[in-house]
Amino acid sequence: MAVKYDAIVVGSGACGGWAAMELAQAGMKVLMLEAGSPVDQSADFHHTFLYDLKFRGRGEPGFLRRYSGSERNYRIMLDNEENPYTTSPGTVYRWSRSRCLGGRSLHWARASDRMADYEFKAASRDGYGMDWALSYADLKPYYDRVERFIGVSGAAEGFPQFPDGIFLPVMPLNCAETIFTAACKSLNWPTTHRRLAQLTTPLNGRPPCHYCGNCVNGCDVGAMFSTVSTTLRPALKTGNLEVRTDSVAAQVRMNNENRAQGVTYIERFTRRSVDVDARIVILAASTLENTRLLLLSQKEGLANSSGTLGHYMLDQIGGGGVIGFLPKLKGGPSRLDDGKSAGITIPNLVNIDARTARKDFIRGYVINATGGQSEYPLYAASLPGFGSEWKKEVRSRFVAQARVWIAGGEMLARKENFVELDPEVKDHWGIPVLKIHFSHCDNDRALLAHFQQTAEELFRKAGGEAMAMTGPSAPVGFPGAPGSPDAAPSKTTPAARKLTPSGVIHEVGTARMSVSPRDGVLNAFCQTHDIPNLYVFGGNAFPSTGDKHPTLTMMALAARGCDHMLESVKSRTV
Amino acid sequence: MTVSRRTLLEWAIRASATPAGIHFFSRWTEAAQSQSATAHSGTSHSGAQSAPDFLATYPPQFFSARDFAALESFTQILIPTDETPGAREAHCAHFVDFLLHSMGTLSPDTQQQWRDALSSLEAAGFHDSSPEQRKSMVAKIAAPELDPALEKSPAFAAYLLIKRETVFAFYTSRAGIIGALDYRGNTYNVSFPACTHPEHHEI
Ligand SMILES: Cc1cc2nc3c(=O)[nH]c(=O)nc-3n(C[C@H](O)[C@H](O)[C@H](O)COP(=O)(O)OP(=O)(O)OC[C@H]3O[C@@H](n4cnc5c(N)ncnc54)[C@H](O)[C@@H]3O)c2cc1C
Ligand code: SF4
Repeated sequence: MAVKYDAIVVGSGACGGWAAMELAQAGMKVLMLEAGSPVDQSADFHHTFLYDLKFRGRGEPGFLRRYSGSERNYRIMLDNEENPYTTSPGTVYRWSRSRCLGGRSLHWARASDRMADYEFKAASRDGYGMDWALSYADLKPYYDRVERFIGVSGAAEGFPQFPDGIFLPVMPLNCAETIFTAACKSLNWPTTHRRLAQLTTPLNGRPPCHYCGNCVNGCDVGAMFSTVSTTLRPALKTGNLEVRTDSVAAQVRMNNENRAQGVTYIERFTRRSVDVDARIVILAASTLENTRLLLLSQKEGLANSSGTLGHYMLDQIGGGGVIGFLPKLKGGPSRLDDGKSAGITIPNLVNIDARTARKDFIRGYVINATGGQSEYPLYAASLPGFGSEWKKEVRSRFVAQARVWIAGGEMLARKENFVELDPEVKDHWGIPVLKIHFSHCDNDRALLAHFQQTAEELFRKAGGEAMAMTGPSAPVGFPGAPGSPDAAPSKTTPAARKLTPSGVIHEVGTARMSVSPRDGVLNAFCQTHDIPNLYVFGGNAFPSTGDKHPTLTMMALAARGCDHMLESVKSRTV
Repeated sequence: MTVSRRTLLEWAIRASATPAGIHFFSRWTEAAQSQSATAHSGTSHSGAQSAPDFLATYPPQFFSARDFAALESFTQILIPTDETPGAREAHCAHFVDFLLHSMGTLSPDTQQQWRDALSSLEAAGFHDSSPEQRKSMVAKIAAPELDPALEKSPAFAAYLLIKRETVFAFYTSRAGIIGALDYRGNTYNVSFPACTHPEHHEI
């Protein structure tokens, strides 16, 4: 007979790692199921230059097609051939996933922001969509708890639309970031250091950052937050956690009393099906995978009495931006610029209150900016000319590179954006895959166009020289086709064009939280309305995207959900 | 059809599955690593690297010896060795040759494009010219890149093609990114250096 656990956690990403740690520390016997392989940060992650790599970053035979990511980090990404998904005609959506111990926490960009009440309660203000079933005050203690433990470097500023957290010291600004900050000051726009889950002082046995800039390839010392660097070790130390990697969850099994009985998973290599039971089941396999599991577990979807499961899929709005050079920096001395992979943040400036309300769109967006040296001069092939003079020009611009991008624009929730099981396509293990239906609305486009104007204004103010633009959603000046003469740098800042919004790998929604079980799948503790011993951690609960990076909020929701679970276990309501 | 850098590399990656490709890649990597060992141990941020042994005696595998010599010379005009290393130290022509060779029979279009490129240079008299003549020839071919109003010669496409791949091969090499650009990232540091320039704090 299968061992009986107190809790099964499906997935070991940012949310699963947190849940496993909290529950194991509270004395629960926890089983973590992870579809991907184990990862050891000091053995698996190393500093490499492009010239160290056999294929200069482009990957082993076939990998370019098969894996997301690069030659450096494909191992912590995902095999697309084993894990396909489909899209409806007209949908352009790139679902960026990772299957390994730690999930995307191993290569994420670490930006960690708190959401504010103007986002949680946006529907009450402008009448669109649904409020969150909680407010900032409910989540604040959990933001505190998560930040204290994972370590977030940042500066307290007192901006009402960008709540402060518990911060480690900031990472200093490089020259380009300093110039952009000065430009914002003269425009009277607020700015702050990009808030990052990266240590600037030692914390809980983890060393501080050494500013190598390798974060997206995995941090060799664990200075950035990941499950592997931060939550897994204390969880394992309790002796209460068992981790099974290479175990692909296929469905949640139910008993006769409308309770989750456990999980059925498939051994990745042998394809043997295994049943495990527990008193509580927690899905933390990432937003869309969680919803896929609910859809797989019962006809019409498990915990779907509201009929909203799969619907209101969201991602923050991306696209546009400006790339170019800051003439002030041209020809300057070499310096370490990209070693923290950071930048500055300009909090949202629109639709915060009556004064900033806009007529052409609702909700807002956050801007990031940075610049300086990078490990490959993307602009070089498009720079006209050749010879020693050309080489000098490439060098002179190398330290003067600059870019402004949208950190997250709020996308409006619409029911017609949804995921369902594809009736035909199955993954490597024979499990039906997701089919994604996703599009943007006029408000999304108007918001992106406004961002573009603002980004160009900032770039102009900083004295920037933008490069000419290519592609419908490429940033201004990003050389879409390297070497094509039309991507050559130009002195004129291009006017805003008709931009096509894209996603930014901040997918949320599809099992939104609601006060009433009629309106959503989850309650404010990420517990399903329908099944008391089934919780869903990830971005599923988000009724709206807000304009902040989402992961810190997902983790705070998971922390709050764990508290609720432990209370319920004590009072025997689960 | 112009082939993007990405496409060329995709071909290379498929092609490297061939035994010839694997052999070349492994030797190439050894050479790159022996160069990078110097990078990590030394404090020098510039200076030309001596050619790894196997490249010094490298027989071209895709191009004829005559075309390869012309290509080498072309890449060295595009990115010359001056106070900092150039295409010669980065072995840009070698990189292009082995990519095309490794494609085997997978990508006849790209291979043909490169053959045509070299033919158009041959037709323009590049192969038989003196080094000085070659320089002014490249300047003439390249002129429409700076001034699109100028008429493009048949060799203009060859120029763009060779430039694109040379730039990639160069700035992904140690000679290019460290030697020529003095890139300071990807290192171990005690702290992150703040901007200390008063003029950057004011607009
Ligand atoms: C390049 C990149 C940059 C990003 N930058 C930021 C940023 O700066 N700030 C921010 O807030 N967010 C960022 N994100 C988003 C962030 O990574 C995710 O929001 C976050 O990782 C979600 O955590 P999670 O635990 O829900 O899922 P994940 O981290 O995706 O982990 C899910 C885990 O579940 C496992 N799994 C999946 N299916 C199964 C199954 N069937 N059975 C068992 N296990 C399964 C996976 O293998 C994986 O380990 C970024 C993402 C990417 C890709
Ligand atoms: S920059 Fe810092 S956090 Fe990122 S990989 Fe390097 S040491 Fe780790």
